[in-house]
Amino acid sequence: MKTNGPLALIFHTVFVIFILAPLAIVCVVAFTDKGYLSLPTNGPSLRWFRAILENPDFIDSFWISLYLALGAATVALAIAIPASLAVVRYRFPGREGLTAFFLSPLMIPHVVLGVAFLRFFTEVGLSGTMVGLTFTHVIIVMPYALRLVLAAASGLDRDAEKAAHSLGASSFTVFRRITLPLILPGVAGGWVLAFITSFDEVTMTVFVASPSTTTLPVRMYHHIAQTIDPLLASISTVLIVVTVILMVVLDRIYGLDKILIGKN
Amino acid sequence: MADRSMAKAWIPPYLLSAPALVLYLAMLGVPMLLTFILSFNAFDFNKGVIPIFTLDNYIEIFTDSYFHVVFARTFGLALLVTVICALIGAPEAYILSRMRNPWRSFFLVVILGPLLISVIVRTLGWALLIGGSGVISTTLQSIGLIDEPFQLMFTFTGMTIALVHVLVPFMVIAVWASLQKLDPAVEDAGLSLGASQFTVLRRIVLPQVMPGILSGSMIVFALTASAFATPSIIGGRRLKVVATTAYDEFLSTLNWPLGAAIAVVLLIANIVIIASYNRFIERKYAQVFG
Amino acid sequence: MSFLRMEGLVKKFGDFTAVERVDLSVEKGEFVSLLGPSGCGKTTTLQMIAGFVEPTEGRIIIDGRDITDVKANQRGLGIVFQSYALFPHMTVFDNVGFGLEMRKVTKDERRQRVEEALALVHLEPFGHRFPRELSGGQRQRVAVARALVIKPDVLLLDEPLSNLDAKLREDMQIELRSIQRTVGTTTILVTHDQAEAMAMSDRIAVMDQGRLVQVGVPLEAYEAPQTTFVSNFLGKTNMLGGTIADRANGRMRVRVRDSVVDVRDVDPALEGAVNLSIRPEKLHFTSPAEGRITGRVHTRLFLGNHWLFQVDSPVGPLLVTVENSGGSVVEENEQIGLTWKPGEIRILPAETADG
Repeated sequence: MKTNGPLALIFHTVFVIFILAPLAIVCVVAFTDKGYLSLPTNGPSLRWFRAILENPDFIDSFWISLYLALGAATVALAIAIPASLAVVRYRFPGREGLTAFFLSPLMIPHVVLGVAFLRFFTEVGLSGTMVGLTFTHVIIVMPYALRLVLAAASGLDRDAEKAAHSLGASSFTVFRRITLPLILPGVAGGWVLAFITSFDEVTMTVFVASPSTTTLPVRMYHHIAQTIDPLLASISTVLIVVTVILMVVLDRIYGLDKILIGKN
Repeated sequence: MADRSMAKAWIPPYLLSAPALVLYLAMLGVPMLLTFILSFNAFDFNKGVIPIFTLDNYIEIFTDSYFHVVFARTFGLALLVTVICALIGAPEAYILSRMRNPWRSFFLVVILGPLLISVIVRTLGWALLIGGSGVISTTLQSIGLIDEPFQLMFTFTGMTIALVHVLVPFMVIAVWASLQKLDPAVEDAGLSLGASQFTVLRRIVLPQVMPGILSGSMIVFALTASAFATPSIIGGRRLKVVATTAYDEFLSTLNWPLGAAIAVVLLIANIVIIASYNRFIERKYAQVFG
Repeated sequence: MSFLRMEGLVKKFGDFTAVERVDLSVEKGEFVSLLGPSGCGKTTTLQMIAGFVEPTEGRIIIDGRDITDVKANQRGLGIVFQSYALFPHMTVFDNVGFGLEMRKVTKDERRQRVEEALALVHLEPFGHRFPRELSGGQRQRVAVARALVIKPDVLLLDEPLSNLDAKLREDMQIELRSIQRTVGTTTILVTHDQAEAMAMSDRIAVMDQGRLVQVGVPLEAYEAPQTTFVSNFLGKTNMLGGTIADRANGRMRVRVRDSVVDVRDVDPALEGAVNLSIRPEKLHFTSPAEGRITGRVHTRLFLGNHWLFQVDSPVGPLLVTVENSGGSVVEENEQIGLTWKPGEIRILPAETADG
């Protein structure tokens, strides 16, 4: 096993500080007792966390983001699972093209998607609806879900399915009893990743969100454009804590490195 | 005799992917097409969008020096952020790969985890750090290192720092992935043949992780070029990039056709740059890494 | 009337013919191996019996019932896969019980039959474990129990031992054979390992390039291979290419390089180029004067239960094995004579270049 020299460790320390500093400062500022941005010099105060509860706009937006992410992740998985099985199982004309098409939203800048969805919604009359917003998020999170399900499905032992089949199971039973349980870690990981991606999305959503469908990141973005106050820091702190909890859950069920880096 | 199973095998994959395909065509194909058409329409401040065919929007983008500045700033920013990410992300990935578990897994999560935290939150962190009344400024002032508030908000430097922070995990991921393919014995082989540690790094490790650095660069470049939230918050109204310009055309000026044209140009520039870069990488590395 | 019949089975993948007119009958309770190198069509044949691959032509009949068009999950065959294909998310007990569950066997009967099956493979205490907690040999046994518990008409074994190490493989050969004897299930084994096929089977069916080239009991196939391919594939052999020089009185003289070898004329149809095949253990050392041919020992290897020699001779390099009886044997570089009993050289038609 090789080891890192002192220079490398100094570099590493600086790098980690660089990565964590902005997140740490957010969490620290959130505990200030002042009415403006400052470090909590008089000890930690929960003043700005209480302030969250007094801002129904942010609470509403949180629920919108939550429902949106739940819906988008679930729909994305519901269509990603059969699509993944099709791509992994069968050799058919257009297979490569189909996969590329399903992954293509990754290549399109979210600003462009925002513009396109805004135009589309005004044309078909879906502006400001939750349903429309959910479908835009499905498009955005689908590639993330698809990649994990694809990885799980291609790692699947086809012989196990054949064995079940030869033991008398019908195609549906094979899917329910063998296939689905075996790709479940990928499905669950894909769902959580899709959920987080949807919950955090701001660039596209800022184009299509109406006053009644303003998600939390969009509301925060608009708020920052007006003023930066400790309220943003306390909300961000809550988000950081929730994300870290989700990360731990994700790490348990799937392995965080696998999700972030891809196969193995 | 025709093969019975071959003929049937056509249908199931299309049925299975039908839901996704339909949704994509309706929710991605149609909107993109509409945007493309919109970019050729005209705009009038009183009448709104006028559905005629005109190249005026594109002519305006390619001739107006205002847009030249915006595009130059965007792609210059993308280039700078990419280079910095490569310079700090690649060594960090290498250092990580030489760590022992559990440290390795721990720091991997610490460095990559922020990807899962909202870009707004991360950008807010930088705003708190580098603003005129921010932590760095007040700290430096209080210990007497500087006299005036130190302000990186609304500067190109501030945007660069924040975007490097937001995007460097992607570089670490890409380089890490290519490091995983590296045979750990090659470094020892190099050392055994009399090469110094530095020579081993330069002659043996670096060439093998180069594809990772290049593909990481591509991701970082593309994401910087289309970044919105961070440039908007840190750069403000003065330092506009392509994404924020398109946003303003759509939601402030309400000149949708021009906004659509900006979006189309951004998309095409992105695709052209990525595709040619891909081609370059493939040509360069196809022989070695097959 | 045989129990399992394959009649004119053909499988084409596009232009490629994987299996070409396989006709094979298997008796009830018989253990037959499909043996051949990779790509010979043996696995495709098994997959057709199992119902995972649809034959392009031909029929498969089990117990008088044509199952060619029956779905895999309706055939009621037991299959042991090369990868074992255990369900990783189910316990050993649930793995073995799965087939019974599909057959809607009551819980009590299921428990009893699973326990019997586990007892058969000596895994009674492992029912609650998950496959990943078992060794390779134990997983193999679970796979066998899972296939047998449904009392299949035919048991199909697809390279079942190839993932085990050499020592364990031998033990499992003995065990599989004895289990098969106990339950008496008609069994088809697919393998590329000739030793495994010969050790376990009542009959072996050697396949080459999609065709059955020889079917017979192992001893017969080994002693009397009908083609150069079978001769090379089953065991070790010395294969000498030559031409018939002359023949008379039931004897034949074959020119091999600069020498002439005298053999029995067994097949009047043979003419021109032929191959002579003699197994290394059928060659015996003697003094140079008494040998049918002479030679010099080039290399000598000690392999425990026997010695292996490579001998330079006028007919080319020859492999010779001698049982280790504890005594001394010929040295390297020694001049020796080689002899063999009449009839132990096989004369085979020379095959075309691709043989």
